[in-house]
Amino acid sequence: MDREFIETLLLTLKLAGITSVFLLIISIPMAAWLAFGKSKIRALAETLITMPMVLPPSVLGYYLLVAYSPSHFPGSWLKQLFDIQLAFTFPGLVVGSVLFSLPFMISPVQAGFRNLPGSLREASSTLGKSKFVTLFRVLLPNIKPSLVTAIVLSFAHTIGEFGVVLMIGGNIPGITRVASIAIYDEVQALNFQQADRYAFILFMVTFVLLLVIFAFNRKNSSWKPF
Amino acid sequence: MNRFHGKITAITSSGNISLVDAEVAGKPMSAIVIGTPENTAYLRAERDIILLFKESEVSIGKNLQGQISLRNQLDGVITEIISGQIFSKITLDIGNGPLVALVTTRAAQRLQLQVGDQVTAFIKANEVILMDPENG
Amino acid sequence: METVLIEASFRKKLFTATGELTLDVNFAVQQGEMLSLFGPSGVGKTTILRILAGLTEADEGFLRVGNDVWFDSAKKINLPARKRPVGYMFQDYALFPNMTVRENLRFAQPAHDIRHLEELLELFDLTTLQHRKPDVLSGGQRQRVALARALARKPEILLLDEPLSAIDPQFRAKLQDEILEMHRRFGVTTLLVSHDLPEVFKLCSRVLMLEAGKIVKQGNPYNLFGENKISGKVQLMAEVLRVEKEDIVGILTLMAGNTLMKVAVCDQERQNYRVGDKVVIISKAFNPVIRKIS
Repeated sequence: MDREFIETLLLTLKLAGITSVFLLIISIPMAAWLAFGKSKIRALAETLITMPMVLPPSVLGYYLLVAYSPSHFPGSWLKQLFDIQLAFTFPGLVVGSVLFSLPFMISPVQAGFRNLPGSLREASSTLGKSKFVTLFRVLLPNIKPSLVTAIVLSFAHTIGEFGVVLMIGGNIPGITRVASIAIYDEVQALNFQQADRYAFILFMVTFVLLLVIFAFNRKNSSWKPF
Repeated sequence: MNRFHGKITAITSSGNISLVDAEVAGKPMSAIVIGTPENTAYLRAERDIILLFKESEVSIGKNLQGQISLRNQLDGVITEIISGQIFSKITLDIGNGPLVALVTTRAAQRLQLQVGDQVTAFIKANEVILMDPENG
Repeated sequence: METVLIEASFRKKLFTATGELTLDVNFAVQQGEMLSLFGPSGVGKTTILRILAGLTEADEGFLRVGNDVWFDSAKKINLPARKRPVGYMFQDYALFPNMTVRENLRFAQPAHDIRHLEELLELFDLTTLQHRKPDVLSGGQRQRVALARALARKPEILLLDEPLSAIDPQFRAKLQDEILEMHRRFGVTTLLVSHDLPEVFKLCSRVLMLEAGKIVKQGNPYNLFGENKISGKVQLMAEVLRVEKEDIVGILTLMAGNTLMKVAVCDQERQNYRVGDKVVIISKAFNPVIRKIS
């Protein structure tokens, strides 16, 4: 019983951690492209990325489940080529969480980039620096508060997701059973004491994470026009 | 600022200082300037020149007799007098456009200046600025 | 023998606060020259610098620097900004807030060159400030860092966009001296955007005067602004701060450099002057009375 409790919590943290790392890697170039790019399809891309914020999670979960299905593309393709099955597996949960939390990572980073004066980027390029060097030496170090906000928000949001996980992960202990699902499950089983423990921990984790953001950003407000 | 077009008639230089004689509407005027024909392009005899001097540097004489050191003497008829508490602005017609003098109202009253009076305007040569008309 | 370093001829449509404007310029810059782009705001001065730096692309035309073509619309050549050896000083200085003064300069160097770095720190009086971050520096100090950073990559061309516009008038003279000293020491071909006439006189040997996107006059500032065409030997550039009427005369309050002065003019002449006008105060060498104060 207790082992299962710990296992569920660890799985939850693992999912949130891996999801956040993937999100960070994907989001920085995407946010930079959205903030500085000139392409006309940016509006479309931004719409798609933001969709998970407003779409019912079950809708996203449903489409993912359909996509994961080994009976047709792309699920069949993944199965044939890599022997990967995403439905009701941990990797499947990670892919779903990444898509679901994408706007929570991209929006703050993108806003951070946009709030930097354009002259910083231009100065770096007149100093002979590539976009890559500019991104890592000039832009990212100056949007640290936005990065912290983005990481904490997407981490917390992944911990809290329910609908998507339920649809694509089911509730397999130790594999896809995360804390938010576990609460629902325990309540269904009228096991209120256990539900209470999960709920309290999720409540505290979320509280502490948000406190971290606000405390950090109070101290380091993003770029200020000296 | 009073501004008259003229023509340089003669230049006398000593060191870097030149006394420039010019003719303004048939009347002689002179200016003392720093600079010589060697280092100043517009200091050439027969050249068109603009003479500038401030209204407040003009003195007015009426019914004058005797001699005076001032080189620049322009006779004219008063066409307008505007008096303030301290200053009076006297406009003369010297035959080549208006010349404006700014004198104290007290002096204007002492000379009993009236429109139509025949007077002489005096300007010290070292108050006259020369300007190249090509860049006027 | 002077050699032409920059040959530029380009056109670009601009959309400014006051409407549409076509920038259409054609000019050459000599090697080692300090040239000013002078004119009111919104005539395209900054855009010219940006086109030279590659930050803005001209609609058509060409730009050659030395033997290299940096831009040629006909041949679709447009060298990216980072490949152009220019030092650009932005109006807001664009110092990197995450780096110290020294790191800002170091970042600008293509290869680590401690001697040049130390030389710049010393020339701009930044040695004691080198480990500070830009946000704790004063405006004048930031200006010096920005100038030093623009020079750190040893550019062929230095582009200064209103370098002193954000500086208090009383510090300007000192910073102008530093720009002159920098130019004397490194001899970098420099283009400077300014709308301050005294600054142009002090710093530049040649001026391109712009109006509505076109170069309307160019030449030596003294010839251009009619200075050596007049015999008055005391000449001061000044700005009109106030125009008043006293009795029947006008009194102009003028700021020349950082000195306030008052000049009386005839009342009808007074009406030609507006606050903000740039003027030259001319007096005969014989007039001023001089008294020793120290």
